[in-house]
Amino acid sequence: MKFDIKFRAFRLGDEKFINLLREDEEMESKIGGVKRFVSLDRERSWINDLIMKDNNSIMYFAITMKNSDEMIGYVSISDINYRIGTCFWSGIKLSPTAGDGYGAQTTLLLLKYIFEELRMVRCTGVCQEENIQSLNLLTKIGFQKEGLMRKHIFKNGKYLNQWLLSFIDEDYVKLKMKYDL
Amino acid sequence: MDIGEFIKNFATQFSVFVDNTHFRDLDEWSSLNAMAILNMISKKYAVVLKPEEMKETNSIQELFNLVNSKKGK
Repeated sequence: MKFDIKFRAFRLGDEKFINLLREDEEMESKIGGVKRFVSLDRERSWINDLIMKDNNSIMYFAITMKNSDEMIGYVSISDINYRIGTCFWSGIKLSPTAGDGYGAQTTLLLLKYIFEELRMVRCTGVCQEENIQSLNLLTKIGFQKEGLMRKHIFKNGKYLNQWLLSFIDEDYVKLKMKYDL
Repeated sequence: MDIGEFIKNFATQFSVFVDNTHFRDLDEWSSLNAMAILNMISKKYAVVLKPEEMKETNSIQELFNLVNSKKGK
């Protein structure tokens, strides 16, 4: 498969884009974490820590177009356990102006990295019950629903249910063949 | 190029469509469909759309018009 996007490491200067993404109310409402107001200075310090401090259990990737280094979004994996081969994927943050299909491309590229580079056997994902587009993407890719976690997060003034999903190495074999990864 | 045939090819990804169907509002819609439709347009109509261009369209008719405008260029 030919990708239009690529991943690169975070670099100083990315804080401006990341800080701006926080102002996207629609995207903010769909992610799991608490809405926070973060200063540009703190954002820069966080990025600096990600770049300079070694933390093997979490990874962040800036998403850019293949022919550019300008960020169009970012993605992370966390809770990486190299002994048992598991990790957690919390979703994608993409610019609202990013083109169609880049969410799917990011997902495929990330899973390729998780299973072919990190040699994981399981990736856990979560998704708000009402976030149908995200759920569609995950299930069409091959994530299996494992259950609905009731009142799992408090967001937008109410408790929300979240789907617990997983994607394992056997699923990746099928995905790799289907999309020629 | 014919809109009927275009809708038929588009519909292979979903169920039932008309020209003013707003595909982004469909429950089945996801980023993966967008990727598949861009691929379908490239293969069946020999038009390579940028994902950013497709993002500007909402209905099948708008997408058809965009593809049609690029056909043969």
